[in-house]
Amino acid sequence: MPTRVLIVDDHPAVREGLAVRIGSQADMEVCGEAADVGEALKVLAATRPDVAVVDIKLKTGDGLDLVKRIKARDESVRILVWSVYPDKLYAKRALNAGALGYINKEHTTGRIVEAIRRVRDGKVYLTEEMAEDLLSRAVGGHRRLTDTPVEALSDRELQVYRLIGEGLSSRELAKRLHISPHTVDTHRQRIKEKLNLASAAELTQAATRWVLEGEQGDSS
Amino acid sequence: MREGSPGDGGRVAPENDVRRRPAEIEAIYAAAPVGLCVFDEQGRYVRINERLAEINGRPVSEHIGRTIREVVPDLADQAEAILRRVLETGEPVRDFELSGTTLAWEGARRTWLEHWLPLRDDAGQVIGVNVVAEDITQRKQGMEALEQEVRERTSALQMLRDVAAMANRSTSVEEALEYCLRRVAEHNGWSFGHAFLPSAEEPDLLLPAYVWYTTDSEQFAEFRDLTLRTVLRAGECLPGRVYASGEPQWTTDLPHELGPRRVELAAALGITTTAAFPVMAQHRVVGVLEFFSDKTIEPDQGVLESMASVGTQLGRVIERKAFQDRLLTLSEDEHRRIGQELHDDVGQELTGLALKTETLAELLGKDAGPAGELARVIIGAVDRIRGKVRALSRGLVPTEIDAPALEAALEGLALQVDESDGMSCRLRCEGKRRVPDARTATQLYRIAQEAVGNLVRHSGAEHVEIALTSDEAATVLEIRDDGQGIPLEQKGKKGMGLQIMRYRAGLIGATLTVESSPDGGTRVTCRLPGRT
Repeated sequence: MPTRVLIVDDHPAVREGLAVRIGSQADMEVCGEAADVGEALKVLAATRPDVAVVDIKLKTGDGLDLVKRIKARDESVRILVWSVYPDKLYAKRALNAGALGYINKEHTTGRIVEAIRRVRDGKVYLTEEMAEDLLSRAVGGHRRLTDTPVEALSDRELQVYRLIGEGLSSRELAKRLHISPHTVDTHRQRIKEKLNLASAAELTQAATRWVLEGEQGDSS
Repeated sequence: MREGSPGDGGRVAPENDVRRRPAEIEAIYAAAPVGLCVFDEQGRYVRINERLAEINGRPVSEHIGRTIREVVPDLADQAEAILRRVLETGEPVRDFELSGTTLAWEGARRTWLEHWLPLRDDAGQVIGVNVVAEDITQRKQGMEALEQEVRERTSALQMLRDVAAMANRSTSVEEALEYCLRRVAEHNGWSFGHAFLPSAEEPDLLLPAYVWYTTDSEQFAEFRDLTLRTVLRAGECLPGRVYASGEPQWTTDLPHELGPRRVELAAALGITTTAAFPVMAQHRVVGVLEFFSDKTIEPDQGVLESMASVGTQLGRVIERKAFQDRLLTLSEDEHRRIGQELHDDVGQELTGLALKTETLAELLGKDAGPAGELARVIIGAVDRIRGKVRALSRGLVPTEIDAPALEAALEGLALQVDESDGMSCRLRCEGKRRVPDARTATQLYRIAQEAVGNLVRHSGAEHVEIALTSDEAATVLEIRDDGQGIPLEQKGKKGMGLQIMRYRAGLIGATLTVESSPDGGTRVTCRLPGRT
């Protein structure tokens, strides 16, 4: 039986490309597509995929959130997170949220199929480098220096930070994440504190730069 | 002298009737509104009227028979000279001024308009001098006051014209402020001048501009340093009140609020007069100029009026700069938007495309001949395009460089140039790196980027040096090369690049000059004054 794959990504060209890629494989098939959290959960219920490939950036809501919610609904679904954001920051969070793998879009279009297979088989998929990094942290954890400031953000704060970097206003943020503007403010405040930023302007600039530099794959 | 009436036939002409003269003369003397007297050949008073006697400060009787020198010693030198002249030449001396003091005036200096005429006897010999004297002191003072006012107004007008001309030309607010402070202070005799500007983030806050004027740097050094650290809220202290009200404040009593510690320092410096003026743009206050003097200078309507004009001119400069800032921000926002779209949309499209082309290659298999080859070529192309889009989107977003990272960023720039063909580039940094904030660092970096870009494209240079030096006086960014230089006539053609560099320099209060190096090549110098 071919592996049934659910594609969750906000960009139509990416969904299409991945669908073509998966479709050309004998052992897998696309059973559904979705662009945001709501749609994804609906299609999940309707099509019962084996594997879900989830982007962190979605039309509404957040990919990591979705991973947690999928896991909550159906433990058996194996999830691969696929995104433009750097491994260093998201791989661990993705795994913590319940995904089995993290793969960066930029360098690894050639590896996506391999990643899906591994995850389908219940194995963790990470780049070798990333795997080493996480292992060494897990083992020698207490001796390691503190994470870079952004790594110290909670999942939610990271979400907020990223969306700020993508140009969303506080109001749009509140809508997107279904939280109150007051909560958004609280998150912003904590982010500023953790990242040692003095003003709203600095926060926006840092977030924007960070989002764009995420293109580099490994964050510098 | 009157002609005798015809037909008198033998009667003596009235003017020659000696019996009549004394009475007439007495009458004239008594009634005359001017001072009259007669000197004999030795300069002794022969007669004198009440009026002149009053002027001289002695009774008539004390004049007769005495010399000028005895009665009015202060005027004697001048008077004796005139006396001699009239006596010797027999010619009158009219319309001249005698200045000095007499007993009546107790040291106060007066001026008289005098006519000294020769007095002849019947034979026509000069036997004395007839004097007419009129006190014109007040009239003269009036004239002088008028002339002074004309001079002052002309000078004030000139100053306003200069300020207006400068306001049109200036490339930065600091440059304009500095010029105005100097001109106004010099014109009005102030010893220290300074300006406050509202903070961009918090308009309620007045920040000291990094400009000042002083007649004595050493004496005012501490006051200046303190002033440059004085931050005030709207309504707080003298400058704050001017900011809040838009009305000038001028006092010759040391105000008890000038900002922390400034009052004590001012008092110690002997400052008595403080004046602050608003800088207006439309009806908003966009700055405050403050001046101090150790002389007591009373509020002057003329000065208040010209300061209103100066304030308006400066207001225009500030407005213009704010407008340019907005324009640049708009264009940067536009760039950011494009950069983001490239990243979000085009980038993703390419990811999708990459997936498809990989699939195509796979489907065709390794030995599919030309079709397989072509598929692989396409994959390569798509990869390259993705790389370029990434680089482009990053380049379009003006990511801010923090101050400490400026050196690293410049190093990166130097490396980039170094790696290009035929050019070597080195970076030299000296002095403690002192750049006040990220915005300044960013603009400096962009200027370096632009300058270096120009060099790579146009100069044919082999060696480039980027130098960042910093000391108490200034932070200087210099980009030098040994290429073919920029002929002066062509400088204008460099067009947008140079203009943008100048503008960026202006944004951060720095100056930018481009000149041909003496040893060939070009030198671009960006100078940011001041301790930071």
